[in-house]
Amino acid sequence: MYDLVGENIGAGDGRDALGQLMVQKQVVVFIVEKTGGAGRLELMPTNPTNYCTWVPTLTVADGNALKTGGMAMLVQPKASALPVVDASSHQMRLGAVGGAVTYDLWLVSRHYGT
Amino acid sequence: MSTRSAESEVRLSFSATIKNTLDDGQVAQVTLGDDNLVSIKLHSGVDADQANRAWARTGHTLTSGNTEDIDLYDFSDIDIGAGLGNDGLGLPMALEEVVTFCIKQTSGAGRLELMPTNPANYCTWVPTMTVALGSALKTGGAFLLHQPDEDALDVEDGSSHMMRVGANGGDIVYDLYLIGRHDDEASSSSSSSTSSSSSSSTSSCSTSTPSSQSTSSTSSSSSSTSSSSSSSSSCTSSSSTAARTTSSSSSSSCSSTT
Repeated sequence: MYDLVGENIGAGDGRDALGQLMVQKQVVVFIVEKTGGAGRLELMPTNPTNYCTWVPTLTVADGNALKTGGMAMLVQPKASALPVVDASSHQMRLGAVGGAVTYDLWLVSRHYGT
Repeated sequence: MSTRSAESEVRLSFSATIKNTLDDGQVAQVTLGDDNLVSIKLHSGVDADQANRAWARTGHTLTSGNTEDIDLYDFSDIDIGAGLGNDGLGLPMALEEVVTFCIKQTSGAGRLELMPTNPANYCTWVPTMTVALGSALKTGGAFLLHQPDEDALDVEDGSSHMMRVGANGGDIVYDLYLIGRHDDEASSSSSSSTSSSSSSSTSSCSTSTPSSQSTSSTSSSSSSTSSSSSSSSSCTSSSSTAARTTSSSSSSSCSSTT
């Protein structure tokens, strides 16, 4: 979630749609939607190392894994929004249970300090 | 005998434009978005893409340091103005599935926590959002969970039906919106004899977060760029209900623009 390393949306690894490096220090809007597939989409089925603690846990076991059309949104517009700290609190994990899933992920965030 | 039903709508749009201003003033920009990230009408019923109950409590204050437990099955301790445990029509609530759950902190210096601790017989699908986790809501913050498919977010009376809200560090005022299903009432009937009552309500909430930042850039050349962004998000929820052949309709929408 900090630098989106390993993610290439078509403009280069870890880059936004303009081809510029992503660095997020606060997330203001977090939206994940399951758009297709027979499986269920889990968020944080287990916690990766150095995970973002604010990413909600959505799992089949808890009864809130997303089915097709399901969506979770967390909005925090005030100062000091949802923190992302490189190397210590910056990872999120998604999982597919019972089949493949197709999903959208939308982020609005703040990068400051430079 | 009256029959209760609901017509609901949930909408979510997202738009974000990121810009990169070059030294010479030229601007490169890309707009990301989906006007209909979620756009669904939930017709009355208990199947996929259906719902037959709606409930909202708005402008509710919770004082600092306190928590309150909400029974998502029958709302037994809550009176929104139409009787304990009743919906806006004065008819008893009994939710067996929640399709749309939305909570928003509308004001107050404190932070809204969800499930700071788990009450007995809690709904496992209500996520934990706390100050310790960094996810407690501040004013303008909102959480929405939407599950329109069959077997949505389950509520079991007596065993999995409670949620807890807490106010951390100050008072909070919040709204809670629910669209759900009463499974055992496919053609929902009740014995109330409300002859021809009707009600409607609309509420909305919005947040905006303009922000800008600049970064100097890229590559080994001396050129520099600045990028900027602004964002806003809004949620609206409305419901209307009518009784004697009691029907209700509700809609909610959320949008985020950057």
